[in-house]
Parts: sequence; structure tokens; C-alpha cells
Amino acid sequence: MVRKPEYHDLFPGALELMILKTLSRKPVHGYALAQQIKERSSDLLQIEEGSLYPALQRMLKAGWLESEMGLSSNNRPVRIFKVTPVGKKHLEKEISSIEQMFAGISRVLALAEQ
Amino acid sequence: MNWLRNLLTRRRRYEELSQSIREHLEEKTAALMSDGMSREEAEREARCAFGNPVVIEERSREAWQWPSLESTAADLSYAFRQLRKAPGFSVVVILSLALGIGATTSMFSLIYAVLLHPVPYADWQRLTYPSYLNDDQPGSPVWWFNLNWAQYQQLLQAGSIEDVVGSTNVNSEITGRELPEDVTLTYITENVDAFLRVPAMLGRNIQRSDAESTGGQPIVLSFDFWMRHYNGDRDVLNRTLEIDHKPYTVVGVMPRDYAWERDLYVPMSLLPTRERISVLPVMKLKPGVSLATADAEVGALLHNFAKDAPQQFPTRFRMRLEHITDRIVLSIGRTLVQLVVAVLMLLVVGCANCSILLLARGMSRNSELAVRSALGASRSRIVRQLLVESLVLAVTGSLFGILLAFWMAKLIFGLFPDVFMHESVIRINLPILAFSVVLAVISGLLFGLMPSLRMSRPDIAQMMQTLGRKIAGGKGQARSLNLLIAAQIALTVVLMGAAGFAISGFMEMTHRDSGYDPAHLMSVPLPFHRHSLLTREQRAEYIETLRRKIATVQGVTQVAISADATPPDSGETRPFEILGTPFAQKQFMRAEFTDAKYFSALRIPLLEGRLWDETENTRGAAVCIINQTLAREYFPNGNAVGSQIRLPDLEIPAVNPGELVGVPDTTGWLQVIGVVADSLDNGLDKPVLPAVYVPYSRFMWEFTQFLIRTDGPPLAALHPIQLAIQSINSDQQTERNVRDLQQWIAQEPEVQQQRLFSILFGLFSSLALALALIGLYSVVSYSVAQRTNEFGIRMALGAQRTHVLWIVSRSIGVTVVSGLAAGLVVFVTLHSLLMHIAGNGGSNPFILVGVVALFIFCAVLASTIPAMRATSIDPMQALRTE
Repeated sequence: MVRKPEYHDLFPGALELMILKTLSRKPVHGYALAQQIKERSSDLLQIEEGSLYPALQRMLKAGWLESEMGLSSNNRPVRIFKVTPVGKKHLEKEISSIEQMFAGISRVLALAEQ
Repeated sequence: MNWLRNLLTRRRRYEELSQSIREHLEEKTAALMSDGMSREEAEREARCAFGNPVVIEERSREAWQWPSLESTAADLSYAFRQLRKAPGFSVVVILSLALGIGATTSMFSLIYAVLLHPVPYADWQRLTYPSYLNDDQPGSPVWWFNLNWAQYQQLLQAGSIEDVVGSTNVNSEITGRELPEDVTLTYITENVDAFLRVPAMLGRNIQRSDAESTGGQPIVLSFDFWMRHYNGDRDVLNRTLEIDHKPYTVVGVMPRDYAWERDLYVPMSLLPTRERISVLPVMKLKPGVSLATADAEVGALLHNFAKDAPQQFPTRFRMRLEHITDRIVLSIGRTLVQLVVAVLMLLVVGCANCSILLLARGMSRNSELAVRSALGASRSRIVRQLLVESLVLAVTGSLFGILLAFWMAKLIFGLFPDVFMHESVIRINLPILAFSVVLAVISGLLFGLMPSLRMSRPDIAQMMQTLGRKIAGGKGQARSLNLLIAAQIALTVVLMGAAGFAISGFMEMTHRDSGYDPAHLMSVPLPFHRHSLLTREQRAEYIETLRRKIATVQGVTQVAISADATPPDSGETRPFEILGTPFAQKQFMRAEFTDAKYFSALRIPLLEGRLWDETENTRGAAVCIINQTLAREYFPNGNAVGSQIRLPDLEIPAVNPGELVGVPDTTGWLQVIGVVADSLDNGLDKPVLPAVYVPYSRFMWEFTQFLIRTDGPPLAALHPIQLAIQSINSDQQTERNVRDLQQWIAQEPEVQQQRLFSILFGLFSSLALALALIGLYSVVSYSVAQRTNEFGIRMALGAQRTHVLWIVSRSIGVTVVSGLAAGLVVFVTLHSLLMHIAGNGGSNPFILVGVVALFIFCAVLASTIPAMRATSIDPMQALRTE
């Protein structure tokens, strides 16, 4: 049996959000993207590297990303992903809705502690 | 058109994707190596961190696909490949299903045509016949009533009734041809078109405007008449048809399923009002009005009518309106439901067969599935794949099934036209197609699910070790196979038993001692014209003249008169009274109006007393002859001859002059002068009722009937007889339903129904038997093939062929015997019910013995052939088959 490579400990859309945020700072290729997310989360999130790819394809299809050939940091020709204007808009919208959600959750949690 | 662009650029996307994944792994490996790992270690570590690249690539690709659709398409093409690889298997499975689905669909289309959509008339659920229960004759079926024109007008005003169509049938003839042709002319109220709303096939139906128009006499043809008389000529409108020497203009032809009456329709306005004295009213209830409400209102109205015209109605009656389809539902509905149970059993046997074949084949596919599973296919994926295969089989089977169903239903309809309503037509339509598609899907799931659940759980480790080697199937699979076979056998035995009983019931019915000899005998009914032969003497004289003339025709040996007294279902049920015994309410017998030659023509022997003579016949003497049953039941001391019998309700109403004529004292006492042997008078399936034979000249309708015995085939003499009749009266037609008496028996509805029943049950059970045997055969062949190796070893070690044969037959024998036993237990438990199913079927216990013997014989045959193959194995070869 094959374990489903999905992240049950992340909420839906979280991975996409992290990809969008990371790429919006600087367009990079898949491997670099995986490394950056890992580093940034300080290994707090257990992410199987391969799982980025289905997400990347979905985002390409949704038009949030586009890809082009470029060079990696060690000068190998690689496929670079970058965020489109549509992707930017989506990111902004998602971030604000997530902030609201977290604000709501913290309030409830704070209330529960009183 | 985004999806189209996606579709077109998909291949490039896939390439880019695999490239990215490759780069990722390479870069990771390189990074790890630069941290000091060996290449091998680094590659392993990179893969671990990445996950299964094949699965991930597959999942990533899905972003560009319609995943469920596309993998289904892949499943489909794979399924077709699999089926092509095993053509024998596929053909057998598809055939099993086609038979099951075909039989079930044909039954459903019959049910649809007969019960769900029996008539084409608008709002047919609200149409009722004018029927009531006659309390003067308790236990008799419902009667229909006629109204006169004034009463019809009053009925129209009833609050629970939306509209009423009235009709009057008149015996008529088509004139201006060589021989007058008998037709029924139906005068029908002009609201009929709006009432039934059936579009005419050509031209139009009778319409309201026909009531006012004065020019021309419009006539509308039924489909039957159009085919019979005009040979289906579409250029028939505006032609002239001469009826009773009056010209009518054809204005329309009705479609086939419009079988209100079966000949010709003309507007009621053509019938003078004073002649509208017996109008049959068919009512359409208002929406939401229950039969009980309508019964109450119409009943009150009718009891009022009865006060003014007591001779028109029985003295005591209760309204019992019935829907126009009630009768057919009663008579054929039960039979159809029983047949549906039978076809469903057949379908289950067919499905079980498919399951058996799939399982047997699946065992040899275990290794294939194990490989797929090891390569990462999830269980649900494998189950889906296997289910798609079954559905492909089921849908293919159902396509053939639908063709088969249509053909079968048409055949049944064609073979047994009188069993169904004349309005019912078999069509392939949406509900029926939907039904068979649903049936195909259900059966696909039914037979596919169990095997796929079993097969999708392969023990990978074991399979991989024995890969490519045939191993004995798991215990679980063998158990399911045996269970399926046993269930199949049980159902088949139940079906065979029911068929046996139905067939023996049919044989009993047709081989019953009828008490008369129908060979070389035909019945020729003759209608009299309205307003003719108005006195008893005129009518009797006319009948005698015709009889004498017919007797002179070449080939005719005997001519007798029987007014509605032709067996096997003869006479009218009437109450009777015996002089000197108190009048019992529930004392009924069949009143038969005949001449004295009737008994010799039908070869019914006189047991006691004498027959009446010519002069007694001419004057309508007050004498009668009774049958043996009446003599036995009412005169146990043998003193029947000389006693007196009276028919108290044999009155001639003053309603319609000429409709009935007779002697002045039709209800007077009749002296019993003889006793004759019993002959069937209440149908082929019911006991003989008491009967009294009265000289026909005492009481005459507007028709008579000649029983004519001939040298050769009777119907061949019909034309010369018609010419002879015409030489007496050029306007005298014979009725269309001239019948050979042997043919008449075959056409009786109970015979037809029982025959239909026997044929279908016989057919279904032989199909079930064939399917069960195929299942048995394939399981034995399969298990023999599985154990080739084992048998080889046994025989190499010195086992006798008979011993090997014994091993094979022992295991299958247990299954067969337990299936048989289960079937018998079910059959015996349901015995009373099945007796019911087989109608009045036989109760012969030997039938069951015969069924079991037949089954065992077939089963032995089906399992011996493959078992023999097992014993003819050359040990060396068997060992090499590994």
C-alpha cells in the first residue's frame, strides 16, 4: 500500500500559500523552493519534497504561476517558477483571510483561558 | 477554450514536469554528496526525502487531467483488451447476461405495455366501465349496464363525473359486394375525440362538429378494419363505404392501439333518438374523485332510473364501478408478476454464472493483480478496474439483451394476442431502455463486486514467490465458488420444478375429458338485422330454412343450432327452481338454447329419457334436457326425468322490440324429458356446472349460431355455406368469428395463458439449467487445470485413473448435492405458493423426481467431461506443466 503523500497536518491551501509567498520574493526552481520552505519553517513542518510538484502543477493550471528556463545557483539550466499577477492577487486575498481566521481563533482561545 | 489549450499543451507540460523532478533529485543527490555521502547513500537519501517519484509524477499529471474520467477511459480500454484476450470467457459471460437481462427486460416491457401504460387514452386512470354487482345473483361477476338516451343525459350532470362517452353497437354489413361482410357499427357520442384525445393515424376521429353537420355521413375506421378491408391503403380518406345499403364517407383511420371497439365508428347523431335505447356509458371521473364517491352518486342515480324502468335493472344491485384496466390486471397481472419472479431468478443465475467465471478466471489473474499492487496500485484502484471490467461485460450483455428482449416480447404478443388488451403495444421506449441500463449496472455490480473484493486483496509476498506458477486458489475463493454454484443449482431446481408443474397443469387442462368431440366441427354465428323477424314464428322458421339449406351443401354432414351454447364455455348462468322443492337463492345453472341435433353433432350421449322431436321444437314446447351433474346434484334418487324445472328470470323485457322474442310463458315450468352426459360448460379449467338444454325456439336473440360438422377441414366449407345462406337471403352475412371448434379450445384465454405460462417457464428454466451447467463445467475444468500438477504426482506415485476421477467428482459432488437439497427445500417450503404460480397446475410428485433426475443427469454430464480430461493426463507432462 502506498501512503498518500498529502499533508494531513496542514490546512488546505497552506502549501500553495507558502509556495506563493516564497516565490513572490524571488522566482526559483523546484529544488531551491523545497529547500527554502524547509529552512524557513526551521524544519517545524514535515514536508515530503515531492509533494511540491502536484501543488506546482495545480497552480500552473490555475494560472497563479508560470515557468521558464533559467539558471540555478550553481549555474545549471533549470525550470524556474514565478508568480503571475493573478497569483499575487490570490496570495493577498488568502493572506488577509488567513489573518482573520487566526485572529478569530486566538480570540476564542484567549476567552477559553479566562 | 482554456481546457482545449491545456489538452493540446499537455504533453509538453508532462515533459517539463519529469524534467523538473529529475533535476530535483539530481541536485539533492549532488548536495548530499558534497556533504560527504557516497553516491549510493545520497541517491537513497534523496529518494526518501522526495517520496515515490512515479506516484508523485502521476499525481502531478492529474492536475492537467480529468482524473476520474481519464483513468476510467484507461480502465475501459484495458478491460476491452482483457476481454479480447479471453474470447471464450467473454462470450459465455456476455451470453449469460444477455439472456438474463433480455428475459427480464422483455418481461418489463410486457408489464409496461400491459399494466403501466396499457391504453393510449387520455387520463385513462380515471376512466371507468359502467359496472355493478347483481345482488339477485350473489357471487356472479360484475355486470355492465346500458342506459337510454334520457338517462345518459342525466348521467352527464353527475357531480363526480367529468364526461361520459356513450356508444351503441349495431350488427351491420358491408353491402355492394359478392358476399355481405359482417361488421359492427359503433354509434359513438361526438365528445369522443375530446374525451380520449388519441390523434387519428389518418384524417380525424369523430368530433363534436359531426353532431350538427347535416351533409354526408362521416365514418372512422379502426386499424383492424383498415388493414382487413383496405389492406392498409393510405389513400383511403374521402372514399365511400356502403353499409346496410347506405353510403358513408371515410374521414379518418385510428391507430392500432386505439381499440375502443374494433370495426367502424359513426356519430351518435346518425342514430335516431328513439333508437338510442341502450347506450353503453364509459365515464371519466373528475380528478381526485374516488371510486367509492362515484359509486355512491352514480348508484343513487341508477336506483332512481330503476324505479321508473324496473325491467332494465335487477331488483337488487350495488354500484361497483371498475377502472378500465382492472380486468386485465386481475387476469394477467398475477401471471406477469410470477413470470417476473422467474426471470429475476434467471437473472440471478446468470449473474452468479458471471461471478463464477470471473472468480475462476481471477484465480489465474492473481499474479497480475499482485504485480499491480506491488507497483503501487491502491486497493480501491484495483477494485475499480475489476468493476469496470464487469460493467463492460454487463453493458455489452445488456445491448444484446435489449435486442433479445424486444424480439421476445413481440413474439409473446404475437403468439398470444388474446391474453393481452387489444390496446397494448410493445415498443422500445425510454423507460424500458432506462430499465435495462439500470439492470445492467446493477447486475454488473452484483456479479463483479464479490470477485473484485476477493481478488483485490492478494497476498503479495506469497504471490511474488509463486509468480508464474499455477497454485491452488485460496480456500476463501474456493468457498465462494462452491457457494455460488450451489446457489445457482438451488435456483435452477426451483425454476425447473415450477416449470414442471406449469407444464403438467397445461397438459392436464388440454387432455381433460371434454365430453364432446370438437373434430371436424365449426361454429358459424349469424346476426339478424335490426327490426327484422319480429315474431317468434318468423325467426324460428327463418333459422330452420337456413339450417335445411346449409345441410344440402357438399361435405356438410350435420347441422345443429346452438345459440351461445358452444362448449367449452357455454350458455348463460341463470337461477333455476325445481317444482316441489323450496327455491334456493344460490341455485344456478347454465341455460343452453339448442335444437335436438345439437347432441348428436357434438357426440354427447343421451343417458336417460328422450330428446325432443321436430314438432316440439317448432312450437317451442315446454320441455328440457338436463346434464348429468344437475341430475346427480339435485336428483340423487334418479328421479330427474319427469320432474319440472323453471327459469324465473327468463323474461323478455319490453325495452327493445325484436332484441329478444319467445313464447308467451318463457318463465313457465319445463318438463325434464332426458338426461345427457356432461360436457364442458364452464371453461377448460373449472368443473362442469349443472346445465339445462331448452329448445332454442322458446327464447331467441338477434343472432343464432350453427354447429356444422363436415367431412374435411370445416373452414374449407365456409364459402359454399355462405353462398347457400345468400341464396335464401342475399343480405344475410355470417359473423367474422367463424371458428373451428378445435381451434376454439386452443384460443380459450385460460388455455392461452396456461400455454404462455408453460412455454415461458419452460424456456426460463431451460436457460437457467444451461447457465448452471456452464458454471459447473467451467468450475470443474478450472479446478482440474489448477490441480494438473497434483494429479500428475498422484498418478506418478501409482494412483488409479478412477481414483483421480473420484477425487475430482467428490469435491464437486458435495456442492451439487447441497445445491440440489437447498433447491428442493426451498421448493417444498414454497410448495403452496408455487402451486399457486403454476396456476391450477398438477400436483404430481413424480414431477419433482423427474426434475431432480434430469438435473443430476445433466450435472454428471457437465462435470464428467472435464473430469475425464484430468484422468487422461500423462504424468510426465503434468509435472512439466509447471
